[in-house]
Amino acid sequence: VKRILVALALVAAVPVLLDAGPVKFSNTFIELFKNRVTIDVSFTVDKSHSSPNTISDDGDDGDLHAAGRAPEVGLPMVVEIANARDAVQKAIVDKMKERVGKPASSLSGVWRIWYEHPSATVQEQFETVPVADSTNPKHVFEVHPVTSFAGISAHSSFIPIPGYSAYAATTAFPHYEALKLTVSRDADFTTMKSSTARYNYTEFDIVLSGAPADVVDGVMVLADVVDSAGVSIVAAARRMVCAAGTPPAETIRKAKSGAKFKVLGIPRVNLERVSALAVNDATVVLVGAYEMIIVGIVP
Amino acid sequence: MFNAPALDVAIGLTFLYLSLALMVTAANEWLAALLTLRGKTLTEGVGRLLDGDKPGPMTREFFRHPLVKSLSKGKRPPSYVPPRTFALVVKDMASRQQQHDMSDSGSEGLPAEASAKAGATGLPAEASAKAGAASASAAHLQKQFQTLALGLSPSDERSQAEILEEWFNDSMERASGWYKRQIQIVTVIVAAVLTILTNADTLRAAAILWANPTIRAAAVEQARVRAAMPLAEPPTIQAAYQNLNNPTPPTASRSSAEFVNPSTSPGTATEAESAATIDTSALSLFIGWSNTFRHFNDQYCAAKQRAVNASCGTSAPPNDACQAQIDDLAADARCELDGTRRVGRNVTPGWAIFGSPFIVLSLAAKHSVGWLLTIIAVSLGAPFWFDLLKRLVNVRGAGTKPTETAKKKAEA
Repeated sequence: VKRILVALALVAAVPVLLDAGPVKFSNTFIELFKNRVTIDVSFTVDKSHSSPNTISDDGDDGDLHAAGRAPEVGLPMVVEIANARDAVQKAIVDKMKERVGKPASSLSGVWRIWYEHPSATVQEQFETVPVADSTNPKHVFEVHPVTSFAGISAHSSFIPIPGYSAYAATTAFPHYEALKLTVSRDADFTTMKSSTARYNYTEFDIVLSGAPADVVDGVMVLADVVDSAGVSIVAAARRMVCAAGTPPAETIRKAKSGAKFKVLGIPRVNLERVSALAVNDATVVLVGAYEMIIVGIVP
Repeated sequence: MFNAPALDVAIGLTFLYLSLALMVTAANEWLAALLTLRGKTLTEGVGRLLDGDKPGPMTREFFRHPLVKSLSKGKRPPSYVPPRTFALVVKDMASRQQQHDMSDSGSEGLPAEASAKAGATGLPAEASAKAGAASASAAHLQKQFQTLALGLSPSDERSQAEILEEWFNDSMERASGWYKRQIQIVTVIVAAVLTILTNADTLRAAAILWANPTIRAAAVEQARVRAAMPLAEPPTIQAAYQNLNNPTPPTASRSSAEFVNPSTSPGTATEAESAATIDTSALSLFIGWSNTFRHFNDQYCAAKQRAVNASCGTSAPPNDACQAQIDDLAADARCELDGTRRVGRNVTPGWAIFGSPFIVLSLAAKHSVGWLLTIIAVSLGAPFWFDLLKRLVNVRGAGTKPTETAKKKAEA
């Protein structure tokens, strides 16, 4: 019995241990979005959770998940509304559920590329995307968190999730820092491959390393990530991004270099670093090529 | 599909040279680390800048500086000092020298023009201006600063750090040349040792490949697989920002041609590391000593057999001496029974081969031209042979697989 259990555990671990399949992103897409926080798409909802996730310490974060397709993305994708259990977000949550299987609706939110649920096979952007058969198809592209859907705003959802304990910075950041993103670029595509990534929501302390910069759809700033003793836990300053019109963007925009914040954030691939460091017709391995989406400022 | 024995022989030889060149690169890296060649060259380069002919007290002070020491591993000098660090450390040294001189006595000035320019740019020329009291090293450094200051135009807007960095970079280009010459010598020596150890005789290898289609096919297949792999593991890059006030810096695309040499980029896997991942088993079919050893052992076993025959004669049953010799021959790992006679096996005869100087000399003479060709070829380096191998494999396969762009263009 013990041997069978060990064998089963090993089999279960294989998908986690294996590298994800590569994803080929259009170079045009990367150049367009590398310094943008958000994306506006015409989203067809294929599947939606009937109710938001519960909130618990083991990863249930109170988000509402939906899967679908958008021609602007051209990849299997998932969208998530943060703080979806909050009564304030009821209208957008109901709208998302209502639009399942109906014609596309306008959707905006923070784009996110993260290798948490990657396909084992190659995905190429702007090839035909199949209709999602679950709320969590194999994907690396998300709009997470959503800022608006079908004309209903969710900007107010960018606050800490009440009752939720996010991953500790000292757990999540060593993992983010160690992730290796293998990047090859040719004339049309940048192919990115990574081992499976983890730790969505993380609570962490930042010290702004420079002045915040306004971009067309938000605010970006480079910041050091520190532990409770103020010691840096990242190899270099990492980029923090805030969507325009959200509480974090309003707070960070006014801050100066050296300002400190405790924030709730989720990681995504930093397309600006990918664009800057990828080499034409060659392969490089990038470490630290991620940035943090600030979802809430922790009081 | 272009397929000819001559092309396959060329592919086989190119694969041989590439494999040996990768091994030489691995050995070079190891030797360079063991002998701290990079650190020594850097020390010499900094010594010429700060002390003149050879490293002296200023160089020692430079390498004792905490900023430089932090780059070192143990007592070994660092392999690389960033120009910015050099500028900071030299400025710090000059500033300390200035304080020391001021506390000793009044200072003498630089020549008026140099002094004016140095003052205008903030170069620490006056820091070591007290020529009389300065040591030979300090005087040398002072002279260098004066020369730097005199070479500046009044409109020069570079900061003193930038000037020092440029001075350092110019000198390091020369030091890089010294290092390349040193490593070239090491390359030839290592290539020679490796060539002889593996008996990688170009002429013999070509003859075997030409005469044996099976060996040729095996070599071509492994060469084809190797050509499809990258020469080295991709370099690892830390995705850090240079300007902390600019999270959206303008970027220019980089081509592989302008990319840094992975073998000199810190924290990267190199050609040397990738050498271990190549399947080179086909090489043993056309290089190596096994045939030579078999031939040598053949002669040895035949001589032993003759001794047994002489000792045993035609008498039966064998006497004790005869039986001992038969047992000894049967137990000899260099010989085996082939039918009714003992023949040599293709195992190393060990030091015994050096017991026959004539054989060693004749072997050397027989292979010397082939070895020399191999050594010269291997010294050309792995990138050269890898590039050539890819071209030859493409020619054999009648062109490369079309890229996505080409395919799309064709479809359009």
